[in-house]
Amino acid sequence: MMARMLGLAATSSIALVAAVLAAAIVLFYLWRKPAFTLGTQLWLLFGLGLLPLITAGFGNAAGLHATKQVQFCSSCHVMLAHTADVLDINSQSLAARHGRNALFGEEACYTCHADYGMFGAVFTKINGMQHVYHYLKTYRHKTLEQTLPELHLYKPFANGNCMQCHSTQNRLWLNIEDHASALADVRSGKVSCASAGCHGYAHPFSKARPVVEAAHREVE
Amino acid sequence: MNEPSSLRARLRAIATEALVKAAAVLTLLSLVLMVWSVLDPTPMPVMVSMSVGQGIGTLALLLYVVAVIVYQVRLRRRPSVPAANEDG
Repeated sequence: MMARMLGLAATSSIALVAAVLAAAIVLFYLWRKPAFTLGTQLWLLFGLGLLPLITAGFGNAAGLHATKQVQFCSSCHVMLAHTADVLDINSQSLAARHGRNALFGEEACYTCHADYGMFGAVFTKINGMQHVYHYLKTYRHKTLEQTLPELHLYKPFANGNCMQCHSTQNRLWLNIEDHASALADVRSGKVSCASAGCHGYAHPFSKARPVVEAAHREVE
Repeated sequence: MNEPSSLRARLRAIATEALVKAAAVLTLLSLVLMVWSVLDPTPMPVMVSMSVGQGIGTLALLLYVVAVIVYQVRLRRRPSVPAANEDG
């Protein structure tokens, strides 16, 4: 965790230093207007090309890392109830119990909701853009209380995400009767791990509503 | 005959200078947007930086490359003209 924090700080620092150097070169050019010699052209190539590219690259890395943080998700007010529950030390919801795991930690939302397929990271980001679109279009001016009954996943939560950690092949897991009897259905996704009959909804406070259930039925 | 070609050369010189200046200003703008997302990594700055910021930065670099190509082509056509006094 510490190493990751240091890595992120280094990434952000490199982006900022490159931006400052690029800005210094560009401002010097605009201020002094030196002759357009080969030397000036090379300096400008650094200021207008290489250094901004470094800023963009490392800035992207820092930005993509930021999008995985719970804090990032909670920056839209409609997610506050979900993130508050995940961070609540006393909550016994499935999401909160997983969020307390150090492997989830600050990236609890992303760890569960990411697409783990090929190009999953890209699809996850595209989905994230969809969230932003719906937020700006529909929910921005609504209160949390107004929004909560309407929020739902675009498609049912995939057991494959649970199986990133719970492989369903461990003997201890298979020794549990319910797991063994529903093994094929769990692996195929027919029975959801996060359903009322199994481990319960991940965010139970948001589920006991006809609107959400109807939305899920529609998707199915 | 000399006057129009001199005028053309002058216009090309101005075009090069204007392209580099535009590239410089656009680069500054893109840097501001990219730095904004690093300092304030919330949805809007991150999205603006990765789309608008980097788009403007790419445009700035393209303008600069065009300016250098135009300048180099001009230099090759008139190799006797001292480079240091062309646009400065």
